[in-house]
Amino acid sequence: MEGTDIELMLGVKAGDEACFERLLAKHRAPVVAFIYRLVHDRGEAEDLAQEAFLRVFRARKSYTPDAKFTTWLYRIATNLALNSLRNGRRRRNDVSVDEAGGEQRPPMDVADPASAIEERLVERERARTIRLAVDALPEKQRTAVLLHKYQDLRYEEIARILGCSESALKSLLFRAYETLRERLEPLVPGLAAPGKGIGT
Amino acid sequence: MSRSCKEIESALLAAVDGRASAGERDRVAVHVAGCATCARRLEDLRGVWTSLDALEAVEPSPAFDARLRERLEAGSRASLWPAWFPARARWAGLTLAMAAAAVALWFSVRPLRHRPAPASVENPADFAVVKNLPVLENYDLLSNFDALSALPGAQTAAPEEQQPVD
Repeated sequence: MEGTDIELMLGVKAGDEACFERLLAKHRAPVVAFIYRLVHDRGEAEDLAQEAFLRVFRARKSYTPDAKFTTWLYRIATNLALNSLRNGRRRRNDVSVDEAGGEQRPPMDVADPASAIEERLVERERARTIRLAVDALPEKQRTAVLLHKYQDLRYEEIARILGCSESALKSLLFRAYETLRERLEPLVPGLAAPGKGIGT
Repeated sequence: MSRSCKEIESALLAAVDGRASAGERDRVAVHVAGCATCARRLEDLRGVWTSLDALEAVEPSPAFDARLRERLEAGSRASLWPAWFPARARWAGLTLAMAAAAVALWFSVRPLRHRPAPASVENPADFAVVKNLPVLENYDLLSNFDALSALPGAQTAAPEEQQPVD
């Protein structure tokens, strides 16, 4: 049985562990990726994602299908990640922000032509600049952008996760992208100079 | 910026992120055809949206599920009661445990007068041992040690602090 998330969660509630396995298989990767983009630490992202799934499992008996499963799951994941950031558990990584995600990078081949190495360095610098621009957004805008850009969620769901109205969310997102446009202007060719862009 | 430009903002966002309905897409197309400012805003949004593709992500490690299972099992072991134990019986057990704890607490803090008085030291050899003890920190014991009152310069404790001698 494939089943919708709600059907699977009702299966978990009824004691069917296979349903939990299927929910896990479907959502583990996006949840880990989402939390990682907030905390920038693979180990922490996995710990927090596991904690989110543990909480879902522990709350299975009281589950009622009155909202989308992903709304519930991402609300838990968001709260865990933001609490972790607020508690400063990841502050120690601030000094090593350049290394964040380092394990994902392919090693540079010394046999690469100089131009290829330079190209990769430019790509890395570009990714780093984008990450810093996103990190510099206010907490709610940052979370909204990450949910909007990378998770396959509707506006209504994102609004419920963040506890705001849909129109407030759209306004929040527009402001966030406007700020990003200003910060990424030197990086993205063709972007309008500040004061002449999205919000003006 | 005109009112219609402000109103088109959310549709611009939806046109870029792919969540726009057919109606919204048409509205955006008509608006930007006649508004250079919003045409520019649309392009800027697209530029920012595309640039965010460069933000790195990670895949869960192969040990993710095994670690989650461990944590689930550890959580079950940490539970005081087995899952099959009825909830009502858990409350009864908890009530009994609290009652036992209350009785134990009462015995441990019951009034000092109910405690047996220390035996007096009459044997001279025992007296010598007691006399040579370096420090007696237990006030109850010290204040009721009859042998100490016989020492030169010993002070008698206030009567209300003395334990009654049976």
